[in-house]
Amino acid sequence: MSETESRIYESVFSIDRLLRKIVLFAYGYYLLFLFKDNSIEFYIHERYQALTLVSSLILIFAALTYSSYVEKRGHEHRKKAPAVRRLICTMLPALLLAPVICGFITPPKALGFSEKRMSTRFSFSGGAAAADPEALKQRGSGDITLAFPPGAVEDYEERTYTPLNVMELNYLFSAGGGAYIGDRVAVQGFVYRDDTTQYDVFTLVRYMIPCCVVHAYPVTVKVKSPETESLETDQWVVVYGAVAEAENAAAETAGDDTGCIVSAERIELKDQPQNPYINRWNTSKPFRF
Amino acid sequence: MDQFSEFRLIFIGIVVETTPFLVLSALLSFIVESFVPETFFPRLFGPKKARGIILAALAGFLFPLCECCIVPIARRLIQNGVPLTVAVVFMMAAPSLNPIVIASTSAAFVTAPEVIYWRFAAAFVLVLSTGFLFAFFDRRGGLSSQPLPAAGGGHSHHHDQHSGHGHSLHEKMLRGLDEAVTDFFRVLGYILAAAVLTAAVQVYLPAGVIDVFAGSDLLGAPAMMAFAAITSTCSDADAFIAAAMRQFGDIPKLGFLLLGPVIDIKLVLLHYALLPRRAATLLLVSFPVMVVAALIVISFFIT
Repeated sequence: MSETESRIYESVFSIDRLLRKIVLFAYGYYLLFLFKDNSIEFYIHERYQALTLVSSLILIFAALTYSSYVEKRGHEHRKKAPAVRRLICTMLPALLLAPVICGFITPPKALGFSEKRMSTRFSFSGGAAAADPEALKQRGSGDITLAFPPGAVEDYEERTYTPLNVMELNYLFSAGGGAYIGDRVAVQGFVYRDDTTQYDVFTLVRYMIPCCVVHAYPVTVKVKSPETESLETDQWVVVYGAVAEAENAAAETAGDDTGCIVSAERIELKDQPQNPYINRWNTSKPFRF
Repeated sequence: MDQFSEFRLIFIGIVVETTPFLVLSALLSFIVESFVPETFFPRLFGPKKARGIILAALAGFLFPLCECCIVPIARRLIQNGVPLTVAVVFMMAAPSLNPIVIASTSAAFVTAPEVIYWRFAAAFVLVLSTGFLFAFFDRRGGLSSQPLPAAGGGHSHHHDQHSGHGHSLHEKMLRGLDEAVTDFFRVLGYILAAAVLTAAVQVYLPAGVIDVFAGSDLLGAPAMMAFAAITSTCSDADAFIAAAMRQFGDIPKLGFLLLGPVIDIKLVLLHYALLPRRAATLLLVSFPVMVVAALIVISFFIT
């Protein structure tokens, strides 16, 4: 081939590059869709959401900018692989669409009770920090909205509850739960009926997502209530109660070593909340996690 | 929740978590290809391997890059003239020592500061040791003489089209975009394969298998290292997983934290896809052995 001939380029449509464009666009659009659909929280921690949003825009931009045409020299048209191999190579990018298609056609479900995951439940055991007696007087990031604001006296029994999430409560118990005996809390989670605890105690569970759902681990507190037997595992509830010392630690808090429980005053059955996980930054003192 | 739904959730979860880091990696690839002169990195790390190894290990403390995106970046560095040994050291150092990993480990092990200190001290020593081991095996070019594995289809033509220097910024950016997209697709397939494997293990491995090993450091450390390899945990958050494994002692947890950022299913697939085969094999064989050696030493200091 002469020098002049090798310099002659022509634009050739490439199905492979078109498929790449489609895959890039599909991934970008799917990530955007997760935000629009509010289902991004089913998958990742809040700290990755900004990066995910930016990535989705970059992917869409790249898809629009990436050319479906490739410039080839004239002689390159003659180098053709066998048809079957070409077909497989061409269709491979299409296989990469599998998670996107899967994600679109099946709405995400929240993780529920799993014996395997329960074996890795998290605790700040050992005392995460010195107990702060004012902690329960501050509003935590408890993700339930009470019918009355904390501090107000509007409850039908003239009681006020501080909304905390399971992680915050676990933190307080581990940091010295004795400082909070008698303080009232409202906490939300799903029920886990554990055979190792006594009949009137159940475990209240929320999953913490430190990065993505694959690494979700349960955070738990024990709740004592005469209504326990009517509650099914996986039922979402809001427990209104007071922090109490476990009377019989071995029987009441098996698996936890904080020595504290929530003694329930009432339990409301709830539907699964929109965000079933603990996956947001919590920067309010003393709940830094 | 039935097992298949959980499998699907975890599979998509891994993809959603990983994609932004792949994009970040591709973006860096685009920037390097479009705007950074080819002589920049070789000049930065210098001609002497020892200096390059130490600089690359220290650079790990500065760049908040996780292991998902670092392998293609290491490949890009090699293509831009950085010695293989130095690129491998940076590839290990960034996910092991970066500021996010330090912050998350400090938060997760607030009650066990010895785990925090040992994690980073041991990781730094391991990164340096691996670097010098690579330098030893590569002293006659035994590793770096092997070519990098070929790029994916549809790529080489573009190199022809834009090869050479002195192109306009527009042309450089077009070439950078092509390289970045090629990098993205080169890694995505392996990530999907690893996601399927990881989700399957997480969902279908019988409960209690790991508990069998939790009783002793002797069995616990290899079990936790295997767990790190199987679950392909992101190093930015692996400390929370380790902290949650309360059945295990500090030594097995350190095994998990030291191995995970360098060796796991998805990383091994990526190493073989993007790095010279001999280098990938040396890393796969030597690093777990060095982690075990480090754990034995640490066990004299941690009771």
